[in-house]
Amino acid sequence: MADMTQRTSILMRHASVIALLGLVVVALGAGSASGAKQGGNPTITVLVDSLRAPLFTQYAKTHPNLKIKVNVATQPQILPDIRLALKAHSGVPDVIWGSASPWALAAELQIYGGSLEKYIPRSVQAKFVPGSNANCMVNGVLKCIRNDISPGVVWVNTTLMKQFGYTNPTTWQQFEQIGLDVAKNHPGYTFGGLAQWVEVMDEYWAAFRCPFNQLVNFNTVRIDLSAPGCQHMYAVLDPLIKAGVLDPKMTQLGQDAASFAHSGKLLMQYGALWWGDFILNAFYHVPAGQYTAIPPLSDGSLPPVSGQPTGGGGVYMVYRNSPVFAQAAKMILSIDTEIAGPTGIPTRPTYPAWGPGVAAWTAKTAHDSFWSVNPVPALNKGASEISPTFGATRFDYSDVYNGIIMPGLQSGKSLAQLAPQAQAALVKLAKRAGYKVVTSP
Amino acid sequence: MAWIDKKDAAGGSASDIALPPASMRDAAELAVTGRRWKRPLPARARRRERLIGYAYVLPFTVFLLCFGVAPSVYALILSFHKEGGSIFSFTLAAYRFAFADPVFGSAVKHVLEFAGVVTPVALVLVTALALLLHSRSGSTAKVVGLLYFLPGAVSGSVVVLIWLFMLDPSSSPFQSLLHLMGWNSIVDVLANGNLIWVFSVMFLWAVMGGWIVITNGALKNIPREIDGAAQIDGCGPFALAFFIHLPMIRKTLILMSILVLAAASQIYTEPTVLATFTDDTVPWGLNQLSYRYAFQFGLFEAAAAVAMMLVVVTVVVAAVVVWRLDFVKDTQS
Amino acid sequence: MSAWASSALRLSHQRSGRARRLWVRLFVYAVLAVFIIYFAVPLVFLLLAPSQGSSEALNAHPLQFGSIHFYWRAWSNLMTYANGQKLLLIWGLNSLIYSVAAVVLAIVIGVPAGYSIAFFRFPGRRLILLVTLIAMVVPQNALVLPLFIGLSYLHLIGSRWGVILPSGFFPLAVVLSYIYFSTHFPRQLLGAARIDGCGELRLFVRVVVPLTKNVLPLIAFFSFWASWVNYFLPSVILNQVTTFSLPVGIINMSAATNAIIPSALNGGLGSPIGRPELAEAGLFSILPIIIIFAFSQKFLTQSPLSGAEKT
Repeated sequence: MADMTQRTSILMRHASVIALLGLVVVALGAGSASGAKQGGNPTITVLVDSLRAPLFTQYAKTHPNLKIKVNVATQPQILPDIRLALKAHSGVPDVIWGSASPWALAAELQIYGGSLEKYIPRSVQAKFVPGSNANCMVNGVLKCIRNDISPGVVWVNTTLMKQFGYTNPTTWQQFEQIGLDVAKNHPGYTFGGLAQWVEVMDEYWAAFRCPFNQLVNFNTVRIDLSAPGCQHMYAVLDPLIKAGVLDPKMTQLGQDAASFAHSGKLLMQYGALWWGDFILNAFYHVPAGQYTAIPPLSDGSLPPVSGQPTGGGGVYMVYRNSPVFAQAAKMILSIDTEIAGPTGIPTRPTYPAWGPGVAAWTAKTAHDSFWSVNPVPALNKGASEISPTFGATRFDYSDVYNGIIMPGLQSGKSLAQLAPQAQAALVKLAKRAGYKVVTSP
Repeated sequence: MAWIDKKDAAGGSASDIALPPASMRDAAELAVTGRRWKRPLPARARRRERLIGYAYVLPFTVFLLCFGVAPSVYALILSFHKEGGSIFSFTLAAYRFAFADPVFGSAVKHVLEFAGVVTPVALVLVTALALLLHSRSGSTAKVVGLLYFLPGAVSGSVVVLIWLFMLDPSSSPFQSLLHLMGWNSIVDVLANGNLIWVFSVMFLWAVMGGWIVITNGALKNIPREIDGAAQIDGCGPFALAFFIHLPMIRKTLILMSILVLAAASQIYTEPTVLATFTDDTVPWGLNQLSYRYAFQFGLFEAAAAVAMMLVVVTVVVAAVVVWRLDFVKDTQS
Repeated sequence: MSAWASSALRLSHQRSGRARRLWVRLFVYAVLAVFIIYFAVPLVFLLLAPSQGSSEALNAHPLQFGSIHFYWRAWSNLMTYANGQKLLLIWGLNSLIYSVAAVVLAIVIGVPAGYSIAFFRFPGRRLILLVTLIAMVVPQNALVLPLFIGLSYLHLIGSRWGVILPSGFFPLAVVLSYIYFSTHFPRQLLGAARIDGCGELRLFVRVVVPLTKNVLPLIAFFSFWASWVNYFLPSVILNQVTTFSLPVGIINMSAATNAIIPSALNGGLGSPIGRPELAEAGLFSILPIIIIFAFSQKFLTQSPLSGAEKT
């Protein structure tokens, strides 16, 4: 029996050695990991998506006195990442590439963004395309800067318009008349689909100044789907939906939409600034030389405003408690406004928010023979008339769109009929997100 | 049965071990004292058995505590934690928040319906396919097994790409099947009532293969001699499968039912995949709701509450299954 | 043909038996074939997708074969992505490191635990098994925050060890080996070996381990696979592109391109990564699984306990 006990103790020794080795391994791993602490040169930690990462790597090269650590995550992952880091009180990046979706942007502004007023004075802010930074203002204080914008314009097939004898509309009411005429005299041609992407609806709400997420201040939102602007919107869109010219059963970014447009049946479509390049050209493969953009339409005699500006690109934000706030703020301004160089504005995907960069960016589009007419003037108009009623609110209203509006439209109801239900749902969402809800401006 | 005919490892003949030890206790006694049929077990041997048992299970227990128990307990405590309160605060506010959410009710309904449909279907199909595969030995079984398993190896955006094409009637290889159901556009396919079936198809596609491999592996462990003995008794192929093989892989089947139920009730990937190309971000299942609370709203307490509710239901069902079917009891084949 | 079928052949009446057998065989093949179609067609799509060469062609029938040339073009696009860093290969190597480490840890930690719970009576053994089962059903979402806090405290966020260490907790290894040991393992061997005066450690190494031949490949394969496809926790922990595993890398890459959703959010029109490239990256990521599966099949087909009692 004695050697049994001896063997047991040998075994226990083996086990404890293994456990000890394990601890050593863990400690080594921990030691070799890139720690958050650094001495000497301050490090600016940046969390961006893989498209913006080269911009910061380039900046690091041209500013060797700064140490810049570029971390990469997908844009939707960035908000979860900073929430976790804030909870763990460790590893919060100094700069992030903020979200495009309004509710994620609102959350980021609430928990993360710091005031940039000191480093981006009003004189510089004024150079941005007017209204582009509106959703970055928190109670009058600038907390982020926008990289690119995508308000809405109307894309038209000029060949078909001439063929059918229509003139380009300047008001929504004319838009409606053309649509109804097309349904009667040229069946088969439409204005595209409504299903799938909530951003499509966003364009319309904003263009009619219909307050469904209008921010009165950072904690008060105005929701009133029975306001005059909304009534005009229902009056324009409902007949078109009923006539089949706007199809709630067709997607915008699916195969059915692509084949439909490719076959040349798309007469007009209201879409973002980048819709032409990315969708009409690269995805739908519409016939070349037929399409262009026209400026945003006006609601009756009111000045025209274009759709929501958050459907494209993102913003840069600096962490309010960052120890390197000054350097980080200067860095994002520099990157956002850089016109020349390998990472300059012309290389960016979409219409820049930085005014002086617009000409450089639009130069390519202006000479693109894919368009029947140079769309740049229309794009510029769209960019300059960003709707004032669209706010970045903290609640995800796509619930209302996909849960109430789309199913309702698909089963034959009209927007006017769905409005009360949508209103109630939006109010509930807003209240749960902590907003005070008002109906009058 | 089968052991009786074989010589043991020590080289003794069969008659030396006329009866297999009836329990672990006897085996331990056999091991320690070298003698049979003597009771009781000496205390020292019992202690030794305990110590050795602890030693071998120690590393896993450490990992279990660090990566399994501790985070789960944290989540449990968090679900009763008052936001902004002290560590010792206790409140049901998180649970009440979840219950008051209009989306919560529909998420619960979806999860119950989905798990209720998909778990039995998965069980039946996996068992049937594993048995069928087992009956075809050789390279056919290997290749087919691999084919069944591969979908589980595809992850992330590639899955999105695949289903983007498979579900859209204008681009799917299963076009005729979809048209047969009356679905002519992707909007039809993804209508609210159809989602259970769409998600079932997606879920089973990814999940079944792995379980088929595990079940097949369990079947392979059944000694061939048993098959032979059953044949002598006049057992046909189906009876062999149902009455002989199935009971022998009982524990694997129990494990599978628990884990498939858990995976089904925690459905997350499939609705998220769909949301990528439909832009419908309404949380369909409870796990998605939990994710939204945590990362969209930053309400980690509510997220933990929903997660705990999910765990409790799964654990209750699993506990019933495990205790009723004696998962933990030692079995000798 | 397998043993039971040939015995059934001998036993049954000649004509009706043969006919019945044929029906049974046809039935088996038919069922297997239906499911082959179900599982394989989407994979065939993936296989053929890079041959189309451009998104326009992908609008055509998805199971059409384009040209071999496009496979090469998609590959070179993948290699030149992000300044030609050959990121796909780096990610593959990372995934390999993470997964092999996961396998080693799972086996070294899990198999002895399963063995212990199956054969040794000590207080708490059922509790550990129960807690293990419970731990397997807790949703990962709920665990991310505490895991993140813990790993952050150890300064492992951003480090490869932050991925490897949690992967050492693979409860399925314990449960599978417990099932194996408690159901199919011959206890007499342990008793007999102990009679010989074999010490516990030697018993484990010399007797038990060789006999895990039938469950070890299964455990190795599944821990490899679980680590290979794991996305959520690694995506939260890893933030340097060169440490990404394949799932994290591919999602990051495709999120920045127009592969899934055409949108200005996702990158310039000049981005070379489109649907063919994404499909090819997907094929690249499945390849090691196929290889490992084929490898482990070699071990899985040995008949159980062969030679164990016959030595």
